Amino acid sequence: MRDVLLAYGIFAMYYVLTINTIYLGIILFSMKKIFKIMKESFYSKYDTLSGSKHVPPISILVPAYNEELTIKENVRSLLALHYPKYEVIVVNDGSGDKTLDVMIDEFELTYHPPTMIQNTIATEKVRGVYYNPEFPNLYLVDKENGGKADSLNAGINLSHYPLISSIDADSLLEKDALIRIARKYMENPDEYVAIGGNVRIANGCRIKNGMVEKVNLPKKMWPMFQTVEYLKAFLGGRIGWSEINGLIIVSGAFGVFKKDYVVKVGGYRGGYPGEDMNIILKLHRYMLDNKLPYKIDFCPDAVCWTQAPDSYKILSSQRKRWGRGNLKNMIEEGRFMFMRPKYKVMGWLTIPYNIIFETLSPYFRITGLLALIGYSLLDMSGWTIMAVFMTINVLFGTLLGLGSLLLEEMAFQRYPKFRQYFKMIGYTVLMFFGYRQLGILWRFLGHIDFFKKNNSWGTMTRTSWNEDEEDQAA
Amino acid sequence: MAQAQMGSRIVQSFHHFLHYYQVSQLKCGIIIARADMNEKQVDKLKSYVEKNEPNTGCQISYDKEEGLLGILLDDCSLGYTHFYALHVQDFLREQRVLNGGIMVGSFPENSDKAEEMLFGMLRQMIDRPDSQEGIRIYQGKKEQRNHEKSILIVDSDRDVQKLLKTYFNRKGYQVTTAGDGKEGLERFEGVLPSLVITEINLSAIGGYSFINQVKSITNEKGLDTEVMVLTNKQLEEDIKRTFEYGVAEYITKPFSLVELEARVKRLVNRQPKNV
Repeated sequence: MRDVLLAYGIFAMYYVLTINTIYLGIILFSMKKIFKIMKESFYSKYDTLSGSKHVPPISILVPAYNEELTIKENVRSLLALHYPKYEVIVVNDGSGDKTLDVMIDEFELTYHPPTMIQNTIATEKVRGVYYNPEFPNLYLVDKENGGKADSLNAGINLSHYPLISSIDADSLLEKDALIRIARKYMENPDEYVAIGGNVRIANGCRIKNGMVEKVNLPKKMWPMFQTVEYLKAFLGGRIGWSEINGLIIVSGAFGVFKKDYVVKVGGYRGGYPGEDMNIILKLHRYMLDNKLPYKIDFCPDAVCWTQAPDSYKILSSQRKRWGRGNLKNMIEEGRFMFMRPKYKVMGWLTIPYNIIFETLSPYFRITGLLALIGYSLLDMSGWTIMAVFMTINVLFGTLLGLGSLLLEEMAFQRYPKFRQYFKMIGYTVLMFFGYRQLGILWRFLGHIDFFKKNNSWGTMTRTSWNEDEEDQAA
Repeated sequence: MAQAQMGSRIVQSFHHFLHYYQVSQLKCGIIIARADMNEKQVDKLKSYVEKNEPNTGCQISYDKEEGLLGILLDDCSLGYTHFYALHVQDFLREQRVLNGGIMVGSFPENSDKAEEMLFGMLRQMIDRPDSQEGIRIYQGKKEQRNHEKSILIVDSDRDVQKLLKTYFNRKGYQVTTAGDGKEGLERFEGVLPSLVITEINLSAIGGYSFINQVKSITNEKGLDTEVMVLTNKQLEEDIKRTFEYGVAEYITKPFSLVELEARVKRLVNRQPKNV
């Protein structure tokens, strides 16, 4: 019995080490790519590009549900982006508040019957489209409530341009974010099907006139953990994954997609959180099934600022939602690509990594820990092995965290002060004493939600999106 | 008479502030009231207005010799100053110390020079001590514009700002610069230049809405300010749209300084309309 426990415990330790080793590999790819990215953005003239005729037009889709307080400023800010040709499509998802009226009043929009909307993707009933020739690149779609994915689909149906960009109504785009992604896209317009932007945390920053005026680190603990976590995920993780074309997610807060292919894979999937990962999985699968050359990339210098949950309650519900969405995506899409040679990097690396080391990690980690504790209770002599493994784990993890901070400091330097740097390092280490463990727990609780509410998919999105709104209101 | 009012205690206590408003071109409001008060009542007034209008910074000064009360309000337009004066009037009436009229004025709405406005207001109050109760608005001297050949440049690119400022300064123009639409609008209201050169890609207030607001201010005040667009945007839709907004010129970057100056000259040196 003791030996079995020990063996399993050691297996779990190796499991954690393997995660870290894979992550190290990914971070090395990020390091390799970051030099290219730095040179690219250094030698690009975004000012000139932002007025060029050769930049492809983009339709920006803004799903809005109960956003009456912020929608006006956000749309104004979007209308002043530095980009040659684009349209802003706000989709009012049957809001219960005055979102629709606020928009109509502010921009003096007039009602048009929804005849101009093509029914490319089926959505909830569209009540009408609002427009004002004074603002030629602004549309407001009013539809019955159907969730975020459904709103995006309705936006796609109206959109006039070949590229679409999904943006959360509560996120702030930097003025040149779109043109930076477009420049990337123009490198290879035939092959790019999706490009994600970098999401940064706006808590603690000074925001004025719909812009982040002064960047600063959050003052509260939860947003601060998330800042470090996002840096690690986006810079350490996504740059590396994109280098080997194995990116599994483009953040829902800000990404650009080729519309044709989004339509071909059936648009966004509703009824469940995680529609942003879902669309990327479907795109990978579609392109590989049809043997089309393609790339899905990440553009770390295109920045979108978002408000992170700043209380335990909201954060845990967000993470549970992510856990639920992740599990759903793996069951729905991931397992068809798991270890299939046809799906190349996705089949051999991304999906197995995600299923074994992300989706299933709570089970391995929790049981492994229990096994080790059980073993220690049976025989106190084993504690040294545990201690050594744990120390290696923390040191390895810290090293990876520092690697991501290094990437940030090399390429972007958004937090230039020494004090900020030490604060970030401090939190990178602190993450291993509580926050990471909570993350695992939240994911596990998300899975429980998934199995409990398996039959009531439809009703869940609404509440989950509500929670999002509460995040922002808080 | 003039001497008396120059040495007035009100002038002494407001002098530095007004100088600051003049230099920074920020708004301020002034209220002058004829009243007989003692120290205690002045203090009482202060706490009264602070309670009623806690968000407005105010300075109170009382000149015993002339029996005049002066109030200086930070960042107040004429409309707001007038509103504020109603509170003051209520208080003075309640205390039964008001024995004449009240005069209100706001810089730069009623005068181009902040200090001269205060002098003018005091002079009028002293010259007409018998005036009946009620709030009057000071009508000061207001030249349409400080300088005939003034240009406002709005561009987020510091290099463009600097280049144009140096270049046009040397050619004898008075140049003001701003980095975004909001700052641009503030500068515009302060300087009222004869020409605005602006980028369309602006932050805080976007280029189109900046042009729109400049145009509506111009129409409202009957100015002959022209707007010229100097932008990275090369799309025909943008050109079409800006001309619909009543813009006089559209130049795309990269640009030639010689050509730009020629076009500026044509716009600035036109026969001024009868205003």
